[in-house]
Amino acid sequence: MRRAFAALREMTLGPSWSIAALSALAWSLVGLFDSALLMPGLCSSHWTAGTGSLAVAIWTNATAAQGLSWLVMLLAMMTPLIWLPLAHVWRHSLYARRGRAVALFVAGYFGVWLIAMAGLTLLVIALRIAAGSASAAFAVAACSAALWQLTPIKLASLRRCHAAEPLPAFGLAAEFASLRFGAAIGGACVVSCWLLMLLPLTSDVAHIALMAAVAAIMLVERYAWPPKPAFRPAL
Amino acid sequence: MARTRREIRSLGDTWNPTTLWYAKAVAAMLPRPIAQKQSWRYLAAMHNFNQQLWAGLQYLAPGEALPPSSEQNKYWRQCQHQSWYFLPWHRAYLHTFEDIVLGVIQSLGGPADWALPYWNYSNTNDPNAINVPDAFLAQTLPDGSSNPLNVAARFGTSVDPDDVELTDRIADNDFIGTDPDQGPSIGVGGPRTRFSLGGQQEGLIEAKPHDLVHGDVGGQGGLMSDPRTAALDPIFWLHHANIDRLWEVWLARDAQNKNPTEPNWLNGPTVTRSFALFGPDGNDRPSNPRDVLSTSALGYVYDDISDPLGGASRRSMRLAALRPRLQRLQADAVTESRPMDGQPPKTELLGSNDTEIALGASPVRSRIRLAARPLSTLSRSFNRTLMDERTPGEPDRVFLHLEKIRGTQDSGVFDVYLHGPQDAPGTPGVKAGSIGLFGLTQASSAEGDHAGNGLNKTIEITKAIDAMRLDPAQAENLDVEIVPRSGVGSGADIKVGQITVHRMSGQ
Repeated sequence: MRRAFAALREMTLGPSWSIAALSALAWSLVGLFDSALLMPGLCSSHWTAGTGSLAVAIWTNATAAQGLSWLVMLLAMMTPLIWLPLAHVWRHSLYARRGRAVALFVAGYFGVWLIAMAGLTLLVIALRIAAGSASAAFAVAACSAALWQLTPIKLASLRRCHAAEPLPAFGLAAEFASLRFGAAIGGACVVSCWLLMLLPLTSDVAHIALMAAVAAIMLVERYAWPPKPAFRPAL
Repeated sequence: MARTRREIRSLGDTWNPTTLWYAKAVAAMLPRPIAQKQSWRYLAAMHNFNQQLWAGLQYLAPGEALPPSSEQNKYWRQCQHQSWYFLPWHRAYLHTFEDIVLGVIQSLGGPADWALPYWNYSNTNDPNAINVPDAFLAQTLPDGSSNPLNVAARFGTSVDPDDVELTDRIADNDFIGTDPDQGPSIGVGGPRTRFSLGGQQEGLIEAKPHDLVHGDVGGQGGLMSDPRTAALDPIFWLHHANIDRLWEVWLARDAQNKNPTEPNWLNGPTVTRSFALFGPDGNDRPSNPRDVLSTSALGYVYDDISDPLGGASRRSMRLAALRPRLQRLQADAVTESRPMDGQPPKTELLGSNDTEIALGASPVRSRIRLAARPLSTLSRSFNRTLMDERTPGEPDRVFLHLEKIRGTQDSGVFDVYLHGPQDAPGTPGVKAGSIGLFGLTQASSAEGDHAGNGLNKTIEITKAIDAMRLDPAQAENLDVEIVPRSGVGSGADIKVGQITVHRMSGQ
């Protein structure tokens, strides 16, 4: 936890302050719009079992606004997690293409997360319908997330979040490598955190508090060294 | 009255009393049960321990009782590497070791003022200094008994003079290095870390002479080549006494050189683990950096902490070497009106290779492509103002990074050469430096502290670049040749993920 605080402090006060600022801006947007931004259409609790209502739910939510809301949510929660890989990209890119390299990394990272969010949303809808109520869906998600924290896959993916891949400096290879590296870190991040992300998505209440709690867990995990889940009993 | 640690060769004959008492103490401590805190093997395991390796090397008998795991977790496997704790933790560790050895010597009837000798392999006034001291090579003690200082698993008998040359080791003024992603690390002590059995970036003294001496002396499969076995070799302690002395030399040579004052350094690591060292009675004692800043407070001083560089600063040494170039520039009356394209960044990537390379028993070459713009910036920094000692600054500095080095053996030292674009095939190139692989196996484990990222090695190639005089009009490439020197088996699976070159502004 101390390491996560140190990372946040260094991010906020150091040359990478823009990362912390972007996250803060996204958090304030989340705060302003709360559930309307977070999960429009999903926050009503009248979904009932049946394929018809599932289709309606998907239709209602499959909008650009939904994608935007996911992006704001991801920017708030995930941006502080990618500080070190961003620094890796920055340092391994020629001065003239540093900005482009970072943009490609970010596109790769959040691109993977946005695809994952689409899948998670379907899962949330299915879970709500199957569980019959938001609180039951949340309980299932919480138990699943807790169990996931104990699996070797969780630990392995958390370690992969720390991978420092070689990045070519020149030509198209450099552009692809930036994008690929972002997607790889994003993929590891999704595998590590997908069940934790279900918590704010399944709950009808306290979205922001749950988002903040999950973000805090992810932050502690990411800056723990050696990499280890924040809440994992000694096995 | 503080005891004095002296250079082993200044003590006299091979079996001078100090060295002979050390040998007798080792002989007395070796047979002690490994679970006993005052035993040779317990103390070595505090550095690091691996049951399989130790058993294979006959340092652990089948079924031998180890301390309980709670005790192992507290006291064993503590060695701090690639970390700003490297110097203070090893000082505290040597302090514990020396106190226990002194107690054994006194119990054997030896002197109360015994102090651990050190091996100053960097003494250029003595051509014999690079050789492993004779007492560690002798087969027997004067009484004809087996010599415990001469271990079977030590395959080097000397160190390479370049590996212990100190000019670029103690001449920088910063103690704290930087994290791998924040530019070239030029801190003498190492980068900020928490409890660190190994990281990715290391301090100047740790990289050289520390790592290289480990590799040179250990050789392939030797105790000294691997942090998990190194402290079993009695020469380890003389090597680290010298490393500890170099910290004092660095502090004394320049008033600008200071230890960190950050609480995180002074108080030692508190997350995951803290340092756990003890006195001769086995009771814990404070051993964080703040507790070991003064050697005399710990009961010892060194006989010699004079500056081997004669007080010269790194900048003055470099500019003195560049003086002929400055004089030519002045004689040719070359104008310096070439404007810069805006303010260049403080540090930036200059170039890189484009593929992973495998190191083994044969030399390998890899081509570094250099980018025109930063190369031009570098070239322009060799101007009259920056090469003149009377004006501030210096031409840009250049660093070669060998990144994501992974492998399954810790033995091995590699020499790194640079070849300019105009070099004819077969020419030897300019030697840039050497790297040792001490700690590689642990660093390469995906389950380990490094998450499989391996080691990073940084070599400052400023001197080589100064000598090569790269012309930005022609120098699009730079070839890096990595030549195995010792301790590398033909089956060694060692890979270097990427080689990059960075420039750092000298202004």
